[in-house]
Amino acid sequence: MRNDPVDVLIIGAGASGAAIAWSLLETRMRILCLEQGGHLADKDFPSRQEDYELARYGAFSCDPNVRKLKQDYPINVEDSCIAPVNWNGVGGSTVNFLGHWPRMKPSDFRTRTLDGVADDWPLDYETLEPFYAMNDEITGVSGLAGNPGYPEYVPPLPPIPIGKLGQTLAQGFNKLGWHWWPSDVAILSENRDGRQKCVNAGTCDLGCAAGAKGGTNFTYWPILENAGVELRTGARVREILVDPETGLATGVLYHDADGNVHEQKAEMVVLACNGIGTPRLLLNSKSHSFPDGLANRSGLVGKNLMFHPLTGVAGVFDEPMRGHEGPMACSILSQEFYETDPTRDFVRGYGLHSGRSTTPMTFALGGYGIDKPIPWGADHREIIDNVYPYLAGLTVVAEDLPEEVNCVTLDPELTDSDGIPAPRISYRLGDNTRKMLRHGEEKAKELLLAAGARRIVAKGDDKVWWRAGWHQMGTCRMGNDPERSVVNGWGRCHDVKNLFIVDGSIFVTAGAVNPTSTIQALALHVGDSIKRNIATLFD
Amino acid sequence: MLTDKKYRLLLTILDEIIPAGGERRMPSAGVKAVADGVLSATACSPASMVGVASIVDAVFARKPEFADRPVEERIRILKGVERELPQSFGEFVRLTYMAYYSRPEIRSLLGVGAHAVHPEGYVVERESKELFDKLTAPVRARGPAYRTTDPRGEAE
Repeated sequence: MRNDPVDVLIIGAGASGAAIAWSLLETRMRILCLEQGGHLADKDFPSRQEDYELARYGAFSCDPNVRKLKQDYPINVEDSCIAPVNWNGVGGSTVNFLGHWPRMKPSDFRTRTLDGVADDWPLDYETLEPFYAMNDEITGVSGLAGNPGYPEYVPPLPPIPIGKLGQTLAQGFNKLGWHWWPSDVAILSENRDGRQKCVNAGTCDLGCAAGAKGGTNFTYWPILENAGVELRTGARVREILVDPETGLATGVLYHDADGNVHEQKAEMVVLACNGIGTPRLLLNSKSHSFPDGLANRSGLVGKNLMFHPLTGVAGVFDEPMRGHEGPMACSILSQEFYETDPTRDFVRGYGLHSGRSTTPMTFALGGYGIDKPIPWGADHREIIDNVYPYLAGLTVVAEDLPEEVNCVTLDPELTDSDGIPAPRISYRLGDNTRKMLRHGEEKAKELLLAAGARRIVAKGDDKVWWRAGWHQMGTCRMGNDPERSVVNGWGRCHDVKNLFIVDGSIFVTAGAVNPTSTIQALALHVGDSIKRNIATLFD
Repeated sequence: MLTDKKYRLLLTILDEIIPAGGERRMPSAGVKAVADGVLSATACSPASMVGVASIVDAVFARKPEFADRPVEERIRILKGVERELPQSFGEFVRLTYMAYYSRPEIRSLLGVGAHAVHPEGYVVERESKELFDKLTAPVRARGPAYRTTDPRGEAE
């Protein structure tokens, strides 16, 4: 294997790594991406098998602690009420994400100014807007133009069907006079660029065998590999190396699939390993210059971990909702309670997401991301016969506020198969979040009844969904002040001038929307800034 | 591995975990395919294997002639075992659900396709522009629903 020096070394082939590689293509720099996983072969998509649901609880679980594949690293979650979930491979977590694609809203970037909480971002919605649009085109986003919840924009493709379930809930929202809109989705409603439109399989979490879902394995990577970007799979980075004289990153040490260690030199290193993998790697890159971890002079690497805590309420309707047909998380989205309202006992807000229901096995086991099987015996028969087919649900997606106690550290004992320390998550719900979730549950019940539900099914406890840690944000946040942030307003580490971070770890706040469209827009923004500042990049 | 006697007992226990019935004439879980599914799932998990065996053993210890007892008594026995061995019983129930619902014919009885969902998926009719216009009209009529970033600005 040749390890000739490269111009740009990107660590991670997921959402953000692919996007910044695409942005930098035009520079004609030599770009190498190291990815610890591999390509998912067409034959390996579980949805091509009749017993596809079983994969959700084994090799295709969203939880790396369940999957335990060679490319996965364990995550210590003993001190967390939410388990992080991901996918390690080409496409990263866009392989098994659900494709819901809302943008952040203008107020999300100004929470300190508007609401006196968290911090303002060093950029705003208007700055990101062209990159949102650019990314929507490449990804193939479907949606309905004219959403009054945002400054005007037009999704490239018409909306996917919202189905009987979505139409039913929409009428409930209209009855109450609340905002709703068909979800923007990274899922094709029409054939495009050799990719097949969505066939409504309802198994987005098992990878989309049709290529309809906009995972970067189907969007950016075919373009990148055709253009000569080198993608080296089975390559797990152990440590980023720094020249003690210049303070610049010189490259990385990585393990190949057989565990052998290699050094890869690079002029510039870009971290795209998500909000847990990135701080893990920085914290494991200690040196005389950076005894507390690379780029960590602020002490904020790994701090301010934010998820989107979730809870759900479902209604039982008179007619079958056929919720297993169609993209599983995406039908309609209400942002009626998204913004701060001083009459409530919490700041910021949440979204009400109408996912669809799911397949029988997953329902019987408690629902997607939940380990709480429904009862056995006569109650089982009753629930399966009289509840399951008639369900329509709403998920409350709460904005998490950054708190330093919520963090990623290195576990002193647990390691991956190459002996690299595993991340340890310390995370608890803030009081503001609890109040928000309670409010959301009540409003979801109100909506479901207005939509015609004859019975409400709620968890009835104060717990959030366990495997809800899809959105990992804030652990290397951006800002103008090196004392209070890890990277600047265009992703460059304050402490190491040729080290960039482009994943969700640079978020300052979380918003209450799925973050991938913003992660990729940010990565394109960082790439654009690198190009604009190329002459003085490392000054 | 279970003896023949305990394998038959396992089938009877499964009958109570997911009983037959309902308008859709759902079969119970007490069939060979489910029992074998449960046992094969334990093959790669020694802990699950011990757990499943412990449930069968516990039922046998309480009532060797479990299968001949009335339903009410069988339920009472199983609830006792559940209280005594909550973790193993929970895992046993989980494996039963997985084995039962992984069968395409069971999905089909519940209105879900028996087929692998790729490449066929499901036909879902796309809403017309007219329907979307009608449904979203009240939302559009209320005007912009996002907040300006002017600190003096109110939510619109």
